[in-house]
Amino acid sequence: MQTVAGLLRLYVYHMKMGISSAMIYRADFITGIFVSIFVSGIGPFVQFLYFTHTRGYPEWTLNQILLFQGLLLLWFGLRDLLFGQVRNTVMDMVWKGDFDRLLLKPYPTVGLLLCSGFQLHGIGSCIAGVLVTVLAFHRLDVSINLWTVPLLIVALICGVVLFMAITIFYCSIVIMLIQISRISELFDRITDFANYPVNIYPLALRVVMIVFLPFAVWTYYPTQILLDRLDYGIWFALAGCVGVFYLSIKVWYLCLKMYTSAGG
Amino acid sequence: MRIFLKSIHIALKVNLAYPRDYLISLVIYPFILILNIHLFTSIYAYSEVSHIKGYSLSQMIWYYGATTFVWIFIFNFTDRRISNYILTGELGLRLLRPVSLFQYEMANAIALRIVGILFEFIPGMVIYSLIYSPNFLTIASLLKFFAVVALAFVLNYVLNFIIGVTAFITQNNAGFKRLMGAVTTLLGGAMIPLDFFPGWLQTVCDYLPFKYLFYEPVRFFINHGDISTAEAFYRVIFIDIAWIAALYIIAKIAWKLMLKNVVVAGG
Repeated sequence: MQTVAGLLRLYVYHMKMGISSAMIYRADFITGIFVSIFVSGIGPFVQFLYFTHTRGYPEWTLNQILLFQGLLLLWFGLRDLLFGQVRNTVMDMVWKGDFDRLLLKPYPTVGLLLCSGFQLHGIGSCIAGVLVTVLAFHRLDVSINLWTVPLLIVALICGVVLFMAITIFYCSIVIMLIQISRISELFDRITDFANYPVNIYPLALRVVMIVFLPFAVWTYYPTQILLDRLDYGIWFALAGCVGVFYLSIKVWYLCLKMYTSAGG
Repeated sequence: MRIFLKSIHIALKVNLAYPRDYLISLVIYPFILILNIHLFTSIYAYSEVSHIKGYSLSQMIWYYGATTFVWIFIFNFTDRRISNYILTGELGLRLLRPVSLFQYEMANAIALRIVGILFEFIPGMVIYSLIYSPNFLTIASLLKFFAVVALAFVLNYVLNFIIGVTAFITQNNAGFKRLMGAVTTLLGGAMIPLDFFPGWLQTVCDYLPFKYLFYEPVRFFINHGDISTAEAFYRVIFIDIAWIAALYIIAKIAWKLMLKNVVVAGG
């Protein structure tokens, strides 16, 4: 418990540092926020174009997919805000040999890495996500019942846990392979599958995305909760998140044991 | 010319130092293609059509694959590198070299793309074809693609050089670079074929250079019916060259203007 409290304090400290450093190039930061909102708007715009020229995806109307896109952007913003910097930090540390310093600190190394993740630029996506979600809410007339909010909170927590797990897998690969800058791109392409409703994929892929790599918990299930058409698959997804996190910690310690320090 | 070629040679050696970075594309590409196969198969099946906006299912799936290939041909870090020279004060050193920054960065971009074509395009093309056969592809369409994408490389380089020069004003131009990246990919047709845009937006795109970076090369690659004539090919080549010439003049003027005000710390 003391360790968690210490790590949280460290996270807040990093957060303050991140805000201060973003304020040094204030003009660039403000431009970045506007750009981020604009860039985030491209996804819903592209979906809108597809839906106006085709019948779209099975079981999804334009307004429902708008809600999906809004929650997707909100999730992108949140994950970038919370852990957006981890990839750069670990890559930089391993390349420069600074990673060894972390091993000497009185906290778990992986916790220290996750604590360095705050990235203020994620706020742009969050703003865009809120705007699109509110618009979709307005057009859909969504009804919120007793279980909606608790379920959304559980899905959010499990989504964060899953993203932490994926980040830990990333860090494990980086400390083993040292010089592969495009690992990040590989992870992004794999997680891209979460950017579309799970039901467009064939059954086998659907099972993977709900049980083994439960990306569905990020946007698909929160949307289904709000649309009041939840299926029992969510319980597999929530359990899957915890399972993947456990596995990531195991892999991390295995990789850390094999880590050979300077020079790889 | 000798210095320029030597610069390419040196940059090639640097870029070949980490071939694993390029080879990772071979793992990445299947994911992109598989995602697009499922996405568009679902859209086409649900819409019960064989063509959408003139694109068959295989052309639409490959549209995004071809966009990735175009990136391989045209991508460079020139904007970021120029910004870094300014942020780190390295610009002074670069200005003392016997080759202009424009040529030096061009040499680096060429070397980067040669390695990209060898390690990403060729194996990527094989992998894509094995997963989803490009039944529309002909030798002629592929040759036309190479010609158009070569010009797209130069066009993108000049655009990136101009973006890089903006760092003289902003020092850190990351936000501006991101904005340009988003505009380029959206209005260039990398996110969605421009045929899906409303009429007024298509007209706007016609007056901008971005569609010649992605949309036109990709359409030649997928052998789209609209550009099958020789006339369409020469028209694209002509407009490409005109844009390159116009932007080159802008780049030169911007560079001269900015250089007058540059102060290199410690230099």
